[in-house]
Amino acid sequence: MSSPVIVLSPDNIRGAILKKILSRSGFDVLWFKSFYEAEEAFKKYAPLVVIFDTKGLQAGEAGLLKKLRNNLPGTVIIALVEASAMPRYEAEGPPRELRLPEPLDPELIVSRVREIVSSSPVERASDSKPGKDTLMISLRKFLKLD
Amino acid sequence: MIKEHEKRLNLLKERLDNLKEETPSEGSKDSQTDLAVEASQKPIVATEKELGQEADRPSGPVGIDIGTTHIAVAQNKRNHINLVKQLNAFFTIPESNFTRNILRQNDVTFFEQDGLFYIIGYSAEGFANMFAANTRRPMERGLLSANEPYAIKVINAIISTLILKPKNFGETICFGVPGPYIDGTGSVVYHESVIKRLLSSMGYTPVAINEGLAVVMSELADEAFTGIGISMGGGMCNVCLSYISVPVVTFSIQKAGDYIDAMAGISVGESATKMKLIKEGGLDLLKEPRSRITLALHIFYEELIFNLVESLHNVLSSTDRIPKISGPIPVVLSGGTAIPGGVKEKFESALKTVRLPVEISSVRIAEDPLHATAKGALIKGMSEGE
Repeated sequence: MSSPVIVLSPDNIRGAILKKILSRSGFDVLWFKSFYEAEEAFKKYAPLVVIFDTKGLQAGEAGLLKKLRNNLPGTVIIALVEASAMPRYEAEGPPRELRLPEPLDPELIVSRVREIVSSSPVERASDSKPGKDTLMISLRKFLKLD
Repeated sequence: MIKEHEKRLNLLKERLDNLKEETPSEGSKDSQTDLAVEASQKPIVATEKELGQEADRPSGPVGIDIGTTHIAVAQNKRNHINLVKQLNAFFTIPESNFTRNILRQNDVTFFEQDGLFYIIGYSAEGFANMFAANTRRPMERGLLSANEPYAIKVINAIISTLILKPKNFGETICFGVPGPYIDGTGSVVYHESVIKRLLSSMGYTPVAINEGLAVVMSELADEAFTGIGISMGGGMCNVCLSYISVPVVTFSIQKAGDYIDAMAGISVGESATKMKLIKEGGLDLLKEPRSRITLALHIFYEELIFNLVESLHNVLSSTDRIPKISGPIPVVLSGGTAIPGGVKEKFESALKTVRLPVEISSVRIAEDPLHATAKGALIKGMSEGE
């Protein structure tokens, strides 16, 4: 599996929506309901993107965002934050443009993930980028068309 | 020269694609989903279970709709969805050796319990007519009946007339369950757990699907399984707003076809059975009612539809779960109560009286309203693991 997008959402419906729409867009996705469950995956994959859904989290759990940033310095974190909870995460989180307010906008999230992945130097060099036709590339090389 | 190579390259790619189609990698996520989407485009061929007809031994996923009036089993075949249904009813007669022999000779399905023969399925209807009595139902308002002590045994026996143990132990079977009620008491948890145990004991891996979502799975493949599915059955109406097949909002109201029959019957002093016969005999809500009976049916149909739309408005307006959806979404109506002429138009009129938080593109009736739930359950069963 190439570097997956990791979704951290305690909400069954929101988590399922994010997993499904990202999978449909060609990304490998792992969805976890708690930080504890996701820790192993963070260690194993060093993901390029983590989607951190704060809906349903308690006020005391705002620190998780900071913990994520510290543990995953090379990862882009997209935090989904309700407008009312935004101040709680102001001091903790990633740059403002990667905080997406409510309601959940799956298509916007996909486009953000796509931007992040395509601008990543690792992914640019790799042939495993979602949507790329690896068969065509291999055959092109084989037939020396390039 | 380069063009020649490009052409060869494309031909090679095409052949490889064809090869992939012919031999789908077993169990792969993509092939499961593709097969499910393909199945949703197939027509349904439905038959009623005949006396003496042997139950099937499925070799693939199964969809099952355990409804208040019928139990329907759907399986994916090469060019169609095969659906066999059985009446979800029973009739009891006193036990005797003579009767037992007669029943066996005539391939009537029954079991013995407490000195009675429990005749099940379509046979029960024949016996009830013979004795000028009504059949009994193991389910009431979409759920296991609390008033029938052997409801589970009856349902088990009826399912066994339709399917046997699967060829592959642990085969997926997807069954429809109602959503949480907004206008009644009780819970669907008991119903769902009992059905799950029953299907597990037959060697299947049971998966529940909300009945409204099953309608979406059956009818909205072209819309990426995004829209509102409504199953209007006998005992209840089930609603699901689905976003790419995720059931975002689900609920049910315990008013449906039986309610119309009962209330219209009370209003004009006729039995619910008679009202049901008239309703199913070609009622058209767009035509002026010609008798007080059809007038009563019109009135309670309209009341049900307004009630349903009002509930839809209340539930959708009070939730913050709905994601941003880029375009308007369709509504699909299904179930026996959606069949009479004019239901679609009445629903559209009722929709104009409320302002939903999502834009509606169209209202339509399911292609095969009586069987969409079983088909949708099958499609969900086929895409399990996604």
